[in-house]
Amino acid sequence: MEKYEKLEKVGEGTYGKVYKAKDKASGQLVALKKTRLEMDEEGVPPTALREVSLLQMLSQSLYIVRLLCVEHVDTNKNGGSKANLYLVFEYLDTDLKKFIDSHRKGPNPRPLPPSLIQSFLFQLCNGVAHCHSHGVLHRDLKPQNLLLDKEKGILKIADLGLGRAFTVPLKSYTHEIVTLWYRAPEVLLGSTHYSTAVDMWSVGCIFAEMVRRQALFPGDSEFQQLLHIFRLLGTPTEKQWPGVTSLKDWHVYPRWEPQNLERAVPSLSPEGVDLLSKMLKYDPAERISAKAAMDHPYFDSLDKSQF
Amino acid sequence: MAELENPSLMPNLITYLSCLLQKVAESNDVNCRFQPQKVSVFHGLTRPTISIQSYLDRIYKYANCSPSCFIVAYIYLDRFAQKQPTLPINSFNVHRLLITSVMVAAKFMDDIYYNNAYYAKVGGISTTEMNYLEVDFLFGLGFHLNVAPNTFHTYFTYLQREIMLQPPPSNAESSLSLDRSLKVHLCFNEEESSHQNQQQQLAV
Repeated sequence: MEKYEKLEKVGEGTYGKVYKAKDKASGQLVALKKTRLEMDEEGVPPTALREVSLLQMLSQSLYIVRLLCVEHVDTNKNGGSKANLYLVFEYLDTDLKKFIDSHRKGPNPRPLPPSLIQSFLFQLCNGVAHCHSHGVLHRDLKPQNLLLDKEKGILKIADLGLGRAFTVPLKSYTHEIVTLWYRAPEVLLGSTHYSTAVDMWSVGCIFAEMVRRQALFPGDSEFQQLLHIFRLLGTPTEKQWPGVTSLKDWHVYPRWEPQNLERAVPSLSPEGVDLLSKMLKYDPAERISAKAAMDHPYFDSLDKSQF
Repeated sequence: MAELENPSLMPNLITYLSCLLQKVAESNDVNCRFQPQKVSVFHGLTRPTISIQSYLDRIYKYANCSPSCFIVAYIYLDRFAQKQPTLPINSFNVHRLLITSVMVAAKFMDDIYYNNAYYAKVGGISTTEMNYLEVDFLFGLGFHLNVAPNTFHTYFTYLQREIMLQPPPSNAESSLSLDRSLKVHLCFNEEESSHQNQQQQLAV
């Protein structure tokens, strides 16, 4: 690892520390994600294992963070050996969470420019469509996992540690995934056979959050999370979402009527509200796909040739 | 893939895979007699006394992973054989390759899986060794763990067909490279065990 000069620790990833570093030879900035492979009982964390193999497949998209290489380092010190796995990524200076925060608080609070929201959302849909077309669910889309190149206005999806291939039959999926605020209702209700639609729900929540500069459904428990959703979109019915009342964690909930979605995102154009409502459809089968979203009229005014 | 739920499929699949691997290993044992063999971390000092069939039965009994994992593990072994032509499957390494490939398949595919220490116990090796095998297997595969649906389907249909045509592995030409590798990949005399390299690198 002498090739890289560690500059600073920039965070804790799903399975280890992340450093900003410089490739000494080229001067290129990189992010080093370190995974300790102590001789412990877990071996290589499955999150690391999935992230590397999925990114290898997906990294050719401009809207997915680029994995440059993987290094396994064994250092023998004083008879004891220490093993680490380093994932070397391209470095991006910020993420969407920090970016939204900087527009909400600080010296100069201001809304995100509508054209920027439109561009970021398009790039996000583009990246998600790329994952889905390769049979990969991200499962943990949230503003922290969307890296930004502020200067170029580029958004890239990162942190595929919870990603998985969804294409072969498996034991039922765990629902201990996805930060609560962006978690789809079918996951919250204990559905075990969910699909690409879970990512699109997260995309909808992120879209609304860029417009509002605050989370759309900030629940602090699974139950509260559902209530947040039901209060805005109405308590789902069998008619709207066939099968909902037979999901594992369905209970009898208060009956809320759907509110007007526009009121949650007052500054959004009617086309934007329409797209958002399609991303937040209760029935996963009805929820818009990433690919279809890219063709939605909301993006008509966007110059797509730049992507 | 409702066929995977068929209760009689798995025992047949396990038997078939055992026979196939045994054939591959034995054939490579013969080939290697003429040339010294490249040694890897997977290579045991002695030939394990437990048969491949009993070993795989044991893994199947205790690993408790999705049936798909065994198909995926088979795909990994096939990829490994293609990417590491100088490391053919033989009687000295087949057990370690097997336990490692099933473990990696379960870790990659299943949300709920046992840890390396558990697999080490099932496989009859130490946790430290299991961890080393895992890293070498991953780099040997170039971390190519994802299995596209059509790939899975191709292998699955092939295995199903072969299982129906009992007795298990015939001597006929197979379309898969694990079989091919036994014919093409003889042993080379390359003196580099992957752990002599202190640093392994994967360019993506």
